[in-house]
Amino acid sequence: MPLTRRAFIRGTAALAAVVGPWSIAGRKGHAATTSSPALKFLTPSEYAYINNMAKEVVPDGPVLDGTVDVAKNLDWFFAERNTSPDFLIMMRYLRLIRLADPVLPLLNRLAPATGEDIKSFKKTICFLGYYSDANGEADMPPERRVVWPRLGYGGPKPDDWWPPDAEVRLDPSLLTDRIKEEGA
Amino acid sequence: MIYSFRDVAAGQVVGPVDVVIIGSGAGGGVMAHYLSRAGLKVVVLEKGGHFPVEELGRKEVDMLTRIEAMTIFTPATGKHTRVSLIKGECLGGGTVASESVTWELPEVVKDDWARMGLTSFGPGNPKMEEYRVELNKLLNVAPVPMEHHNPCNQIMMIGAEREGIKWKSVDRPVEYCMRCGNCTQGCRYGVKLDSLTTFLTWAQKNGCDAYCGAEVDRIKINFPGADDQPYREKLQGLQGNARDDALRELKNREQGAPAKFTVFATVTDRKAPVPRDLKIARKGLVVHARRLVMAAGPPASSRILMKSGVNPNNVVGKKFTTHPTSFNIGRFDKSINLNGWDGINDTIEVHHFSDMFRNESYYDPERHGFLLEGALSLPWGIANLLPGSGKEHLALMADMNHMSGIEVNVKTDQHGTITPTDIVFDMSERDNEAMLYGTWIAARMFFRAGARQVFTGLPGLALDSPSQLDEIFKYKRGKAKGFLQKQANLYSGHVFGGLIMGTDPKTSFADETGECHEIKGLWVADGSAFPTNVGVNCALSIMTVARKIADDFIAKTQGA
Repeated sequence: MPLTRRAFIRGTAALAAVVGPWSIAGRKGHAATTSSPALKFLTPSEYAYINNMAKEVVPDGPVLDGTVDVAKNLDWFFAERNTSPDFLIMMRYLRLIRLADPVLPLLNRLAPATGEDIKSFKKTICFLGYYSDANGEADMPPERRVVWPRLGYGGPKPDDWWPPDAEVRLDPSLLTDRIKEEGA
Repeated sequence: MIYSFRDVAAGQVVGPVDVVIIGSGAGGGVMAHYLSRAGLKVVVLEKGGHFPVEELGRKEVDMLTRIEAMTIFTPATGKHTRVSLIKGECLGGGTVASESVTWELPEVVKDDWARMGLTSFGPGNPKMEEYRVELNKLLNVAPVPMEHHNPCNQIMMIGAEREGIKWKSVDRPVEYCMRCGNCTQGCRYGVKLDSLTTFLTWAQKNGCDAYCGAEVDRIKINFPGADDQPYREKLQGLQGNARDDALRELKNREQGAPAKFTVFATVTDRKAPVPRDLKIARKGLVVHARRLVMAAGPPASSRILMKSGVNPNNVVGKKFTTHPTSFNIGRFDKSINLNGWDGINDTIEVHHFSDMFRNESYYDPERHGFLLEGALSLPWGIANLLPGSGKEHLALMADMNHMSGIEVNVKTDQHGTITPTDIVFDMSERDNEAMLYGTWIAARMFFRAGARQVFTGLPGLALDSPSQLDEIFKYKRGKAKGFLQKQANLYSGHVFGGLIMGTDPKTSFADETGECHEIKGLWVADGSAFPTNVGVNCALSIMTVARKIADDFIAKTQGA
């Protein structure tokens, strides 16, 4: 019987309940260690796992040299900014990814669609801590931002924003009609 | 007044009031305004928080957790389809969180409904035209001026013109738009005329109270009425003293209860960060009301009734439908700066294939065409939509300012089912064909405008040249054909059904006035009531239907 996404999720949820340790009740945060900063939301182990994953998923300079700490960004975002109980689904994704990781090659062979879902969960979490405003850059002055300038993204408009009278007009003559040119 | 967590006492009891409305979006907001204007005491319960304009906008994910429901991560799924559902969850609901693209309830859809027996939606009811004019005026609905189309949308315009397809500036309910590019994060300038800045504000002036962060746990029907099933049928079989006795018994039950409906909700602080152990302070809130309006959006409206054991004739949750949407991205030369996050997000639409206008040559009487919309997202959204991972993905992200997007919204011919935990839904072969064709057209428009690469919504299918366009129709992955696979990243912000209007109580929840066939005083006034999808952006359609239901509500209850 093929391993469906639903069966995988149900199976891993049951496994998680048995093997733990997923006890997160009453957590008050974690003091800094030699390998992790003080954390308010994530465990040191999750912190290390996310940053390793980020190096693979977003191998950009600031991630590789530690200028941007993707896991620390997520720790801050979940501890200070997230107001939706349902958004903690991200933590469920993280648990699924960690459980699936050791068997990912097998999973990719037996249930390639589930393997793809795991890959997409990894992207969602890493991109959240790197590209989104969970990276803290929305509240930084532009000169202190690291990630968004690399994309050419100017960030949210400042409070004194006023729009131009008209948007920039594209010059159609610079846009080659490739259907016409290439005859498709 | 607007009440949030800190304003509510634990175990607070409100009422009896005339009407309690569950949900405050396009349907709930309109109902709150018109019913309170008619002198009724109205209470609105909203699961999400209240975010005044100064707290809206700017931040992509920060606002996602504040004003949108996470239904986006709990998709409608079936054997071969997965559609993430985008839904507002804040005071004002989806109207606050949407791009605010506005379409009137299409004439052809009203005709369809009239043919289904909902005749008061058809051309025979001149009130429908009055509602249309009134709402357009109240919300200042107008097309986006030519000079306000940003370069990202101009790409679609140029592509459509070169392809020989008509395009249209979308209509929006806005006054002096600031074009900041953050419509989907809520309008921090208060110029987008959403339900929060219009109907709910006006309703407050008429004494309507809104409780925010109030998630409804269940509703209780305290006593049946003589017109409710199964008593209606029982009473029909009785005569003389037996009938009088039965009526007296019903009257006795009524006298012991505060009102016909009691709504039990849990109030939480939707502005406080959520601890990981989910140990959030909660307060119980009880509202007694003579009448109840469901307007929490299709999944929630159906599920609240299911949880409460209110499911007459087992129709609740049936006939769910949506507009499955795929996203296509055109990548242009680095010399072409598009800066998709600057300016209004979505201003151009192509309805050439949407089968909404009978006088067009492409008109299909079955009306399951598709609508094309220009759109782009903010960095996290775009990062998730672009294919690949690692260095390959980094290279794409570095080109974000040179990308444009086109959505293909399909008016599916399929229905699904809302259950207490899932939404079961699959696209049909025909839907797949429509989406493939829409993707082909979108890709052609990108190439017409000079794209050097097109990323289709089909997983892994990127086209480098127009000569590859037919790959779209040949696309197969294992046994999966085209979009009939769960990895296709489909989504939709247009959700319908679950508590549909109809003529037969055995197959529909409400009559054409929006009142439940079998339980009088229970109404539906959101997208749940729609017996079909509409094929276009639906906020104004929901408002129009709610506007009519509000009038029907007043006529029925004041008559009574």
